[in-house]
Amino acid sequence: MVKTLFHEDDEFLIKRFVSNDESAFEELFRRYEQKIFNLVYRYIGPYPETEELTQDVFIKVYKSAQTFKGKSKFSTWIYRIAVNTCLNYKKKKRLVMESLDKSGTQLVKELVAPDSTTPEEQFTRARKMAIIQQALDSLPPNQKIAFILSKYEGFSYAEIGEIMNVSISSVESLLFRAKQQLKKELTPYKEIGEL
Amino acid sequence: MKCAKAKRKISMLLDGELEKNEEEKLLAHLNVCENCRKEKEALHSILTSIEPTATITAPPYLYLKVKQQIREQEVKKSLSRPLLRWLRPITVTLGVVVILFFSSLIGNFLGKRIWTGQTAPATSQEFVTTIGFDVFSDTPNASFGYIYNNLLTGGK
Repeated sequence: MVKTLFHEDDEFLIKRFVSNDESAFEELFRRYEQKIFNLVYRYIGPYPETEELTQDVFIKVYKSAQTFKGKSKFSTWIYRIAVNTCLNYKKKKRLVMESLDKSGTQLVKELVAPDSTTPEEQFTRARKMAIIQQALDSLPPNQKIAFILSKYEGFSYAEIGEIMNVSISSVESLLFRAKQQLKKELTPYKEIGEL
Repeated sequence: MKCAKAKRKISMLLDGELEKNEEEKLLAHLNVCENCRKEKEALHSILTSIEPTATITAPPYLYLKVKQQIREQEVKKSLSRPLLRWLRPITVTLGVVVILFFSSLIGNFLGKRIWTGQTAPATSQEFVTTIGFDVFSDTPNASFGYIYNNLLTGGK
């Protein structure tokens, strides 16, 4: 059943799901699973909450599918849910560098570093990700989300504006300030070769 | 173009969001302004460093977990409905009983306070006169008014 839906567009699938076709939801899940997980991971970091929050996003999609009216693209709608879920998330206070402890490193290894890399490469990669995550965490939530959508999800300013429900000039301003802050945070690491 | 404006345009240039004519103006400024040129290079270097070098892979069991959570939430919801159906009237009834009980306690307390606040209770004669029951005082013996008057005055 999933194969026949493979070539259908997202808007068709969501309508099918609302008409009680569960396989349509599964197909949508498969299409957006990595993207949403990626967004949440970039926003929260390599913590177990990343999984929970990703699940929350898809549960919200499942429950509120009938509210999708087709005024925007489905991708905009699901990303809007993901962004709001992230922005509403109250992050537990912990240092990003704690991601290098056993559980954090293991999680990063599972997510990022394939088995074929050496332990040194795995550690270097994990450390680099922790440095980047720490810099991202220094951004205010809106700047962080805008930056992730632009840099890691590849959205245009117009698309980001639609997702975040702000003007294009606001997006431009958010991204400019985010980059200035990241430059300030990361330049010292760059200078010592850790980045 | 001023440098402050150029810095903002550099950010947009690196995102590929500049219109062609704006891009030309910015590049013309970068040709003559070393500071802004260095700013562009520094920013470009940082942004390149944080390019994703590895794929963040979602765990393979995520869909199953989502379905399981949805199922659990639906079961909880369906269980709570019959529970609410009989819980609501019981809660309302209990609420009314509690309110009546405490009202009577408060009323009893206040009533005693007000009653004991009086200097002396009214005499039965005062009571009869005030209410106007003394109209029965001249009624013949064994008549209804006579009996009634006796009841009010205690036979006095």
